[in-house]
Amino acid sequence: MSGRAIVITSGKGGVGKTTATANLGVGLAKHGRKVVMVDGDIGLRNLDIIMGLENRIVYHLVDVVRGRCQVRQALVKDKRFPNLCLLPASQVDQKEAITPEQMRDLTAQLREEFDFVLIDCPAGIEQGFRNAVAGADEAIVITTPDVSPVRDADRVIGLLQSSLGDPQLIINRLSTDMVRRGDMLNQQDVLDILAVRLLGIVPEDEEVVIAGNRGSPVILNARSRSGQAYERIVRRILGEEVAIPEFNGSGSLINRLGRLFLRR
Amino acid sequence: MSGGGEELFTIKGLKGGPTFLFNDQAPFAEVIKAVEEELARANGFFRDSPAILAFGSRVLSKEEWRTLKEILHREGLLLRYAVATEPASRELLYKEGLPVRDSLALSQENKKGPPTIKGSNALYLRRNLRSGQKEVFEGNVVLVGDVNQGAEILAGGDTIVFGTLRGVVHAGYPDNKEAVVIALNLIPLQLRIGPFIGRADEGQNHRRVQQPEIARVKDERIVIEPYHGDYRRP
Repeated sequence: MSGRAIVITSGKGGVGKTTATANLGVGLAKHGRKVVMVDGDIGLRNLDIIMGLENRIVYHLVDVVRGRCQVRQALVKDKRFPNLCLLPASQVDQKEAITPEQMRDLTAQLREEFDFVLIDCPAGIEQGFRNAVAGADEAIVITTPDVSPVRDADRVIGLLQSSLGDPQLIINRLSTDMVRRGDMLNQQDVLDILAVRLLGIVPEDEEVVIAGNRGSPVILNARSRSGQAYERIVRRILGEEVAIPEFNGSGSLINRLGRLFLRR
Repeated sequence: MSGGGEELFTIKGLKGGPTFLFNDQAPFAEVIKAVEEELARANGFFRDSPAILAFGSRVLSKEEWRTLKEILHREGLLLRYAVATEPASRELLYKEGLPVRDSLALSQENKKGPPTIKGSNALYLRRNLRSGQKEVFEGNVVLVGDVNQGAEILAGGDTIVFGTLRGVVHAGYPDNKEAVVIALNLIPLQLRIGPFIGRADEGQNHRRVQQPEIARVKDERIVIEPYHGDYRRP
């Protein structure tokens, strides 16, 4: 049986794609699944750092596609979970070094061996995006509850719908305080605009930054709020019904945005 | 072609495209031969024409159809639909992927249709327009769904959004001041009607009004009012 290939994407950079990929990868591995994380961000490799695996890389994705090595030679085994692997990106090549067709073939090959192929998509909607999406059959879109990432997520959802159908959504870095004060879009504001299924909400949490710098994804810290949120998301991906806690305050930023024109 | 007697086939230049009326009594091999000769004489005249094929009550075999189809394709004709009365022929043509109709007369009537006035056509869409997506239509646009920020509608006439309008709509493009924009939740950052542009008032703090509203041009500026279903031209 072939595994699930899920691309994690956002349009906007810096909203937490790589962090989410790392946490979902570790989480799924914790639940006993065979997982490979593919760093699709050729030229701007990051996933290895978040995973704390940068010193183990020998070959990378472009080497595999170019036939300079076997897939298994390029896979970096995680130091915590033997059933978790990373296929690192090349740091020296350009996005154009591979084609969507090559990505499709590579993903198909990985799906034979793994239960989950998680593809970390680069920011933007150009070739890197098309490469990352090519082999996937599901998509997770990440956004923060801010106006411009939401608009970029909307654009990406529109692009995904033509090939993969409706993606699922993770709202990252939601600040309960700011929502309560009405200074941040709340969950419902975001869902009103994006109109896709909500996979989970990850609250703002400085533990994420600390974990990233330590190379130890926050999901491994069972006491952190964000780690718990990722754990719930992982269980939802595995088909469990897990309630999404409400992070809503009373105010809504949209309600405070200006109306227009002359109204009578 | 056989001299004197019934023609093996005739071509009529109807509105839907050249219509081939095949004699349904003569042996089909002769008909095919005549078609082939005629098209050769036409010297590419019918290339890329949308053709209609009328078989009358002929019982068509698969081989006969394939031979005819090959000739028509070779001459570059685009087959639109067939007219046939014999059930076996209808089934064959249908299975071969060609739409089949009952009669030519009916289809000709359909061609006429109601008289069209410029701007009286509507483009009907039932989906969300997301950021980066754009719809352009010379007539009116009716969209059941949301128009998100970063999405755009450009309509020659009115625009009606059964949902939330956050993106940019230009109704009455380029200079129709009579056009209106109606939305269940009208909260765009910019709205254009004909030559006029309205912008969101950045200073004011209004609450989101959850009621249908209508935007139109009054006294040389865009005005938004609650819409109570009493639409009439200002």
